[in-house]
Amino acid sequence: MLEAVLGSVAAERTLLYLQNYGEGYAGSIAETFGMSPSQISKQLMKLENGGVLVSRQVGRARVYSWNTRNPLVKELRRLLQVTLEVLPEGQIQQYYRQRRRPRRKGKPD
Amino acid sequence: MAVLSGGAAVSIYTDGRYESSDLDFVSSEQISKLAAALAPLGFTQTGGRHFEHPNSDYYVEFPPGPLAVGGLLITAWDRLHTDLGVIQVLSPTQMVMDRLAAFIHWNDPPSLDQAVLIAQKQSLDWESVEDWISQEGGQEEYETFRRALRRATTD
Repeated sequence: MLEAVLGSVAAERTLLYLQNYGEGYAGSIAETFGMSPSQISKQLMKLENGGVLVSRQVGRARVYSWNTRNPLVKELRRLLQVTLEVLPEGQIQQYYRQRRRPRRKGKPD
Repeated sequence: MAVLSGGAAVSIYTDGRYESSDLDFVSSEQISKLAAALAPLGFTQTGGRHFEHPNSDYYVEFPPGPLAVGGLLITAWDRLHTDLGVIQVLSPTQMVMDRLAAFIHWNDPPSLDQAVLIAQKQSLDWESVEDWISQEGGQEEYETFRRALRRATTD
């Protein structure tokens, strides 16, 4: 549904990814959804320019997270959370269940 | 002293609905002493605080203490009596807090699912969970967890 409101699949997926994982960079978001990094990058920059996201450089990646100083972001995240919670289970498992817990170096996968 | 935590504890409390090949026993004991105790049983140290056994698919690790869930230090835990002896293990309530801490602080969605699975299968001390959340922060994540649990229970 959000795709219709936001005007693109890339925007919808970028926002849902960030709602689910809290932060992300173009390469990781693109890889998750099998999309091109430039497509996602464009969305991230647009959202940053609109005051929705903020970014910082971490190594070679630009990591984007929510601009918590924007009061509308909280409301937007509420809508995204509801959207995430009604996604089909298959999509949840495919895209939104990547491990984020640290794993000590040397521990077998 | 070594207390089982992590994925193996989740596995125990979910009757195997969650599977883990790691046995994480939190222990402040010196690694040389642990290695000396495990060597006669056939375990070899494969780096850091990890051990493997040629006849087992499970990896054993001894993460260093202190034993804590989020900011809460743990000083008492459960004891599971098995045919092979007693296992000291975090309680279901402590394990839910542990998984919620990972969800809150690391945005780890699989941890949310594991917390839901434990809460479905075990009775919890909800008052302790809510006291802990009020100290830990993460009220929104806690509400997400409660909604996920409601959905899982009604499915």
